[in-house]
Amino acid sequence: MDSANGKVLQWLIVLFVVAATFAFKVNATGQSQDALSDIPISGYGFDGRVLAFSEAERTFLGDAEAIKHEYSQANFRLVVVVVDGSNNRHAVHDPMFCLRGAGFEITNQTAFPIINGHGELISLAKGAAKQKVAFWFSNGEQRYTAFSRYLFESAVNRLTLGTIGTQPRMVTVYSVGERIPNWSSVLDRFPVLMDI
Amino acid sequence: MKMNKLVERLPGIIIVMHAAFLTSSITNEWRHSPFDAGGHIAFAVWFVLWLVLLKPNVKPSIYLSLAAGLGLVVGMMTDLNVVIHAALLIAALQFVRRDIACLPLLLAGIAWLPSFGYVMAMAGVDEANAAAVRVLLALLAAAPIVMLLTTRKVAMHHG
Repeated sequence: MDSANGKVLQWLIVLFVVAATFAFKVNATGQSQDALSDIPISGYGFDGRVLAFSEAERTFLGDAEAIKHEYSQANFRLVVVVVDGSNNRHAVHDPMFCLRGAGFEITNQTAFPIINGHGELISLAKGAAKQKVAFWFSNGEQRYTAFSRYLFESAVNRLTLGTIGTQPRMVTVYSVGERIPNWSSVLDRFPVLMDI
Repeated sequence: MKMNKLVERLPGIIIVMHAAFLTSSITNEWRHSPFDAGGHIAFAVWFVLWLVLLKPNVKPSIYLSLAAGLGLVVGMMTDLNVVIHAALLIAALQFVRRDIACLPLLLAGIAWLPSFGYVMAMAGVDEANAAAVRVLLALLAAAPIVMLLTTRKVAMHHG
């Protein structure tokens, strides 16, 4: 490549890169699934209520759409948090990383089958406090727990400007009741989760 | 003459500065994420090494410029910070003599990446040790560069 052509090409690269990155910074939105606000709060056999996100959670979520619902059925009570990273991909982190960063020790983790895939059940300890959290990612068709797959599907959807796939959502579920649910049947007990 | 050189290097300088601008939110992660603690020290080590290796007579490579630019566009499109950070590392290499010293410089660069914090967490490194591992990696990368520069200086002196 001669020197003059090389210089022109370098300036073209600079102009394209600056213009394209600013364009994506302004409009960095993937193709999302249906609105999270459509997720019912109550239904046949279960009741629920909307929980508010804390100020710190709101700051972390940024422009990402998210819901936090508490569902109850008989003596089961579950809190379900769903995050759609279409407007802010950084609101979706690997829970295994986030929970450790928040000071929890992961004492056990097991995969459990759910319809069209599997979830991960994590046993956590922080001092004397113990908690079990289940999570999975859902692309509308399949449920999985590999964060690398989430990143891949999200990236492909964004790179193709929403033509291929959808933005997967992260679903986190934890029990707040006295009884610990059978996690494999959690979708049967709370069918609302099947729509996510 | 000096003006001509600056104009010749300007596209490369703009790519580096733009990559640095797009990377600027990294300071929040260094401050708030326990696995990213010490990232600012590792960055300082990398930056000093880069300044030491900077060569005013190196012509910026159009291929590195293209790779960094592509990384920035893909990183913004996919919203993957790790790609944008890698683009900054590649963009910075434009002004360094392309030789063996680039490898430890890249290694020192990896030490300040938040994605390295993720790798550490997944590898079972305790969050209390994350900062130390980052700084240690950056310093380990600095060692061969210091040795290389010292050897070159001695060779020049004797030559």
